[in-house]
Amino acid sequence: MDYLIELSKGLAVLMQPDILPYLIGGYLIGTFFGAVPGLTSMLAIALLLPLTYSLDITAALVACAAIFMAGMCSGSITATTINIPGAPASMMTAIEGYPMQQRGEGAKALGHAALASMIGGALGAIMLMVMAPLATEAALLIRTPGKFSLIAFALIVIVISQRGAISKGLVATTLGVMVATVGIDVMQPVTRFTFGTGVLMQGIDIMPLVIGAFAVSELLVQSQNRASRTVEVDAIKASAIRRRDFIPPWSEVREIGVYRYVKTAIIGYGVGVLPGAGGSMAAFVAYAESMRSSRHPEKYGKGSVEGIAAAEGANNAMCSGAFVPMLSFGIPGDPTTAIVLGVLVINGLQPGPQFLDSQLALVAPMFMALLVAALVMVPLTLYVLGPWFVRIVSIRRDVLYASIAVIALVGCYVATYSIFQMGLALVFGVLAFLLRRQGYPVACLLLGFVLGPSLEEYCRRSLSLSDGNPLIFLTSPDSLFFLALTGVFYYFMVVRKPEARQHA
Amino acid sequence: MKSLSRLGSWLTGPTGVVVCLLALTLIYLLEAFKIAPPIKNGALTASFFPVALAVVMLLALGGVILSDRREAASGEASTEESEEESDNRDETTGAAWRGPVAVTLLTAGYIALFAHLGYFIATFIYAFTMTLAFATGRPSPQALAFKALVAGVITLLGYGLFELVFQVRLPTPWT
Repeated sequence: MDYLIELSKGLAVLMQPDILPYLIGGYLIGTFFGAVPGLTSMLAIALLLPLTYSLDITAALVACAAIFMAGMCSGSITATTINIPGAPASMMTAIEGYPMQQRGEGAKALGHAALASMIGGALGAIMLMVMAPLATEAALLIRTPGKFSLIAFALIVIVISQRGAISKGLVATTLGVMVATVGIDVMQPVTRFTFGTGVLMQGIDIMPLVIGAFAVSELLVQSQNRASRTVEVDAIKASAIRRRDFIPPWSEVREIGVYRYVKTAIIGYGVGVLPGAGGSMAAFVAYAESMRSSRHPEKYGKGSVEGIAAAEGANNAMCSGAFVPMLSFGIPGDPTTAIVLGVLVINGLQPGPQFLDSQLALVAPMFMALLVAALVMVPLTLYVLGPWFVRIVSIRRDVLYASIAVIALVGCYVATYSIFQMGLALVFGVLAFLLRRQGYPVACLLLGFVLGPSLEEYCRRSLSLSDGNPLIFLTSPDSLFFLALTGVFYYFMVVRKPEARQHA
Repeated sequence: MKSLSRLGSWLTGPTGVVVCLLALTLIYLLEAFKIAPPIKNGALTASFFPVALAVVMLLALGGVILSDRREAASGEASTEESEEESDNRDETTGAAWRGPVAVTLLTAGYIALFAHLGYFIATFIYAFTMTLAFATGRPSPQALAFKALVAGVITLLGYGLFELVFQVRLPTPWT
């Protein structure tokens, strides 16, 4: 009962005039970044990170939640109208939405995408509110060796989910953990890898890594593109849509069915809970399942509204699922929640089993922001901005990237008033750019950096408890459970999959 | 010039990146051993975890080398090219690198001058030169004037966002 009261208080806080603008502003920023090809909502949250030093924590979390939710569904607009997914999670939407646009049904496709995003996002937020306390109670049962095995499980799943680039995923993750070891040791008052300089004594902050890996590296990638605008003018002319066509016909909604909407939301939420999965995988898994169970699989790939509903419902439900491991265990499953974890850490808060109990008042507005963003902001934004959206996202690249460069670097400076941090951001930016060019997943670098210190701490604490005997990880039941789970995931994602391909 | 371009493309190619990461890992491993032996009197020290990480990294890099070699072997037949094709490829690679090198140098310059010139002058110059780095072709005098105007607007908006909205102090030449 107290939990429900706190949640309703969270809604009241969200509606306060000093917090509500962050929901609306965050949603609009997320929509813009999610829709412009080349930009992502993750970049928007990365740019927001330095500002959280001088921002109220509740406002910052609300803005992050709104950006995350907006980024997932706004990619569908450019995916449908001009066949360029604004975000990777909208790839499946482009497959179904663009054929509908070519048939003159683009507005209807967008209406279906928005409806599915609304339902998926709202169900995901409700599942988060229901499941988060249960996950927190489960987290309380995990002891030190189990915590090590849980983090190891998360990192291993993140690495093996890099299909076709597992070695590169391992390199990027290990590199992130290595960067996190710079500074004072987690257990003893010993400095490591400071090379005699005082500036590295405190270790490397998450902020230059985030700004470098996501903002500066994006600038370097985009500087190779010689187009003058983000979306070409010809595409704008070809994408005329009318507002009155946005409302999907009731017969088609019934044909998709309540069951499919709920199933895709559960799939999306479940994929979100897994480390390293993300919106693209949620959309793909739900789309594949929808096609498998459809009465009209032949329509898929030619403009199926079921396919749009499955992909969009799942990627929006994923947003809420991704918050579960971050809030309950302090383990972010994807780069966006890793940055949100950074926002909390910057403000002196460490998520974990006690976090939801002690900081519910702080987190409740963020839960509500996910729900309100899905239920209100998704349809409202489509209705108000939909007809002009392609025009809005077609902007001059020189203006856009010069602005992003200034916000990223000055943001890096104002967070700590340190020129050194700006320099670090550039170093990480160049490093991330070179890694990206060769297909190393940069998201792994950030997740390794975030999870590395806890991995080391729990590993050494466990071994101290057992006088250096590594068998403690096998004799502790919770640890054994996570190690077995790692084995199961490894079997299904690495061993069994190639076998299945061979048979095919 | 051509050999420099080739060296640059090797350094930033698959082999170069692996070699750089390998060098970084070896430096990291040597530094880890300098902290303390990984296990001392039966207890783990501050160097235990970094040494373990370096070993994992070396194994992972070994995996990358192996998969790169496998890929190269499978695509060997299709990548045989004439000297002329190779020269054209170098020119294309050089052109593709112009943007990233320019952005890196401009950003490094901005960082170096930010505290000395102050927010306004440094940011105006940076924003202006960045609009040039992202420009297509040689800009006309009108285009240059527009870019200067854009740089001024970005500088003012940045000032408004950071100093007025978020109330943080930005550097000035006199502080």
